[in-house]
Amino acid sequence: MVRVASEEGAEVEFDQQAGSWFESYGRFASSLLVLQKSSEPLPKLVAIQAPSRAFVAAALNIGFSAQAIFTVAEQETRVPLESMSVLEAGSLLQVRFQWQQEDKRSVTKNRRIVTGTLTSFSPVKSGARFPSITLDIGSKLEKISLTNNLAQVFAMPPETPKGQETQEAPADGINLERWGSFFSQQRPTACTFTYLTQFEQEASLEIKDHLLVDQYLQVPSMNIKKLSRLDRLTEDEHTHFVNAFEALRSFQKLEDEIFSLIEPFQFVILDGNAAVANLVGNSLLRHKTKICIVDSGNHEMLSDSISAIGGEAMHLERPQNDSGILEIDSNSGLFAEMWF
Amino acid sequence: MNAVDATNQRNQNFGMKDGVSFHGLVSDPQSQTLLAALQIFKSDWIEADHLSELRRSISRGYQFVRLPYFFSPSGTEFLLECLGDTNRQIKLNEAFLGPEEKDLLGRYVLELEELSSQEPPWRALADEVDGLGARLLFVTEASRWANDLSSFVSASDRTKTWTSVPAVGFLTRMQPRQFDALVFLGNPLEVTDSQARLIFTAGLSPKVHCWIPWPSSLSRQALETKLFGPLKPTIGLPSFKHAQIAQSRESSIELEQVASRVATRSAEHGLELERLGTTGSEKCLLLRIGDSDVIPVEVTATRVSTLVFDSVSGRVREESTDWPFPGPGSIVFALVEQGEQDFLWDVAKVEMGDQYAEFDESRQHWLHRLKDFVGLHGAQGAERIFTDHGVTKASNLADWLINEKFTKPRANTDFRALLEALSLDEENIKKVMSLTSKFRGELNQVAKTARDLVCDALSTENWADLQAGETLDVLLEEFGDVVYRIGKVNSISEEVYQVPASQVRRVVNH
Repeated sequence: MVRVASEEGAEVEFDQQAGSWFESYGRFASSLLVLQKSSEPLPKLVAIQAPSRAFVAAALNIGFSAQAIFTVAEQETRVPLESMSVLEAGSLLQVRFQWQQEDKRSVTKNRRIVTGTLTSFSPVKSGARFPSITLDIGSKLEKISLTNNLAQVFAMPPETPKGQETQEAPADGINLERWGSFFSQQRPTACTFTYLTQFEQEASLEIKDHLLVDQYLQVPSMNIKKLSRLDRLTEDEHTHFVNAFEALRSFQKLEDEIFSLIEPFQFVILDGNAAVANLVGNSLLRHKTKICIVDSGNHEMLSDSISAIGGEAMHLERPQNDSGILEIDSNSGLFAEMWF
Repeated sequence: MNAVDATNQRNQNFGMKDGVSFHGLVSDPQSQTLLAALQIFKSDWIEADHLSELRRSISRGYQFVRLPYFFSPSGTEFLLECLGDTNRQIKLNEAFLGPEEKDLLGRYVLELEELSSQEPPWRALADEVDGLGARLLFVTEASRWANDLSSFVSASDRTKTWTSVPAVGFLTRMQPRQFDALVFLGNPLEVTDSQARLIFTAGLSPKVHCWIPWPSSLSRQALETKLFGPLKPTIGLPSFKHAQIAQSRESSIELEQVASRVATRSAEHGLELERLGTTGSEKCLLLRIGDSDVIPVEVTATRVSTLVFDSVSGRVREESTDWPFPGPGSIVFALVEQGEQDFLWDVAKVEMGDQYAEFDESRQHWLHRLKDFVGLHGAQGAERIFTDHGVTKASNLADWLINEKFTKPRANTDFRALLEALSLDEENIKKVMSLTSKFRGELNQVAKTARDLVCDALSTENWADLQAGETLDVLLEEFGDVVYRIGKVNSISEEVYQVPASQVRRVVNH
C-alpha cells in the first residue's frame, strides 16, 4: 500500500498508509493513457463522484506519470553529432550534459539541461576541438560546445518549454539513466484546473512504497509534484514535464491564450465542483477527455457541477450497457461514468 | 486527524453498503390526528391579509409540531406559549371567522392542547437514537431549529459523544471523526440538492439515519433524483413504507407545500427583538442606525469594529476604529437575531473537536462551585468575598449566573481571582484558563469568519446605499441564519444607559 507522508519539518507531521482508493485512481489514469494508444475510442467525458476531492487529482496525475514513462521514447529523438549539420534552424533541441558530482563527499549529482531552438551550428574548425550549436532559449542565446560524450542532444516535440535548469539526483543507489529519462521526459498528458492552495498543499506531500518510487527510481520517497511530473501551465518551472496544473481563475482570465497552452494535453482534470461547473461545457475543451471530480463533501456548487455534467453529457453518447461505467475501487464504491 | 487519514475515513464510509435508514418521527395514530388538525392549511381564508397575525401564529405552531417538537426538550413550554398566542389571535379575529373556520381552528387548538398535555417525545427519541452507536453526529433540516437540537443533546446528557451542527451546510467543514452514524432530523427532500448530497454522500459516517416528519411524503425515487440527477447513484437507498398512512401521501405532500408557503409569508413579519431596558450591568452609549435601531457600546470600550470601503480592491473590509468615534458617519454592523450565542457556541464546539468535552467538564466544575458558593454566602456576600479576592467586576455576578453561555469574566486577572476565590488549586486554575482561552479563541475565529462573509456580501452599490443612510440586513445561511444589520451611525447618545450584557454590541430595537 502506498504511504503518504508530510514533508520534513512540516507543522503537522504524519506518515500514513493511503487506502486502496489512492492506487486505484492511479491505475484508472494509466488505463486511460493505454486506451489513448490503442485503437479503442477515448471517452470525452468522465465523471467521478468522490466523497472528497482531496488527493483524487494527485493520484490521477501520478497514474498518468507512471504510464507516461513507458512511452517517453516515442516523444524525443536522440540526434547524433554527425547529423547535427543537417538540422534546420528553428528545430527545438534539448542538450543534456553529463551528471557531475561536485566532490566525493557530495550526496547528489547534478547535470545541466538546456532547451531552445537551433539558431546556428558550427562544425569543428581548426583550433576548435568540438563542434558547437547556438540555441535560442527564450531569454537569451546560448552557445554550447558539444564536447564528446559530455553532452547528448535530443530533438524535442514543439510543446517543450524553452530554458535551462540543473537537474539533481542522489549520488548513490539509483539508476542514473532511468532517473535522467524520468525527469527529462516530454509528454504532455493531463492538465488539472483546480484551486491552487489545496492542490499545491497536496502536491507537496511525500509518496512512499509506490512502484515508481522504490522500484523504478529507487529512492525512499518523492513528493507528489515531482513524481507526477507537474509544472504550472502558464509559468514553466521546468524545461520538461508530463502533467500541468493551473488555477481555475487563470482559465477564465486568459481565454485567448489558453487554447494554445492546453492544446498538447489530451486529458483535462477538472478538480472540484467549481472547476467542473465552470469548465465542463467550455467549447475550448470540446476535443479533450474531461475528467470531472465531483466533490460530494462540499456543497458549494455541487448541484451546479452535476447539472453541468448532465448538460455536457446530452451532446455525447453513453454506451447502452455497463461499459460506460468503470469501477475504480470496489472497496470504496468508487466508479467512473463515461460518455463518448 | 491529518488530510490522508480523513480522506481514508471518508472513502471507507463512502463504500459502506446499506448505510442509509429511514425512520418516522410520528407514530401512525399520532400522524393521523396531526394531519387532520392541519387541514386548516387547506383553507383559502387563512391567506387573507387581515388574518396575517393569526396565520403567523398558526404557522409557528405548525412548523414546531412538524419537526422540532419531537426533539425539543422545551416542547411543552413552546406549545403552551403558542397556544396562548393562537387563542388570543382567534379571539381578536372572531368577527372575521365563520363557523367552519372556527371549527377548523378549534380542532387545531385541541390537537396542540393534546400534545402539550402528553409526555414530550424527545426522551423516547433519545433512547431510540442511543442504540445507533456511541459517537453520533446530528443535524436538522433548518438552522432555525439548531438551538432545539443542541438542547436535545445537552438534555440527553450526551454532550461528550454526540455532536450537533447548526446547519446542513456546516457538514462541509466537518472531518469524519469516526462517527458511528449521522442522524438527520427532517425531510431530506426539504433541503437543497447540494445539502442532501452532503448528508448522504460526503462519507462523514458509515451510516446515515433519517428521522422524517410525515414519512409518507418521502419517495425513494424523488430522493434519488434529488441526490444524483443525471448521474448514476453512488449509494443504494432503501424503500420507505409507512404502512398505515401510505394512502395519505398526496395529502401530506399538499399540506407540506401549503404550510411551507404560509410559513414563508409569515417570516416577513419582522424579528422579535428584546426591548432595551434601563437596567443592566453594562454602562453603554447607544449608536443610532436607521430609524429605530441602536447598538449599545460600552463606555469603557477602546476599539469598535467598523466597515470601510477599500477603493483599490473595490471591496468592503472590517476595520477596528478608536472609540468613542469623533462623531457620527461611520458604517457599523452588529448581529440582530437573538440566540446567535448558541449558534456560535455550537460551531466553536465542533471546531474545538475532542478537546471540547474536556473544556465543558472543567467549565461545569467551576460553575457548579460558583453556584454552590452563591448558595452558601448569598449573592451580596459572594460578591463581597470575590471583590476582596481581587475580582474587580464582581458586581456582574448576577449576569454571570443568568447567562447560560458564560465562559469567563472579561479580564483574565478577574478570572484567575474568581477561580482562586472558589478554591481551585493552581493546576486546575491553569487547566481551566487554558481550555477556556482555547474555546474563546475558537469562538472569536468563528465570529471573524462570519464578519468576513458579511464584508464579502456587500457590493459597491450596497455601499452607496449605506452611505445614503439606508440600513442593510445580511443573512448568513451558513451560520445558522444569523442576521447582521449594517448602517451608518446617525448619532451617538450623550446619556449613558444601563444595558444587559446580552444586548451589548447587538442591534436592539429602541
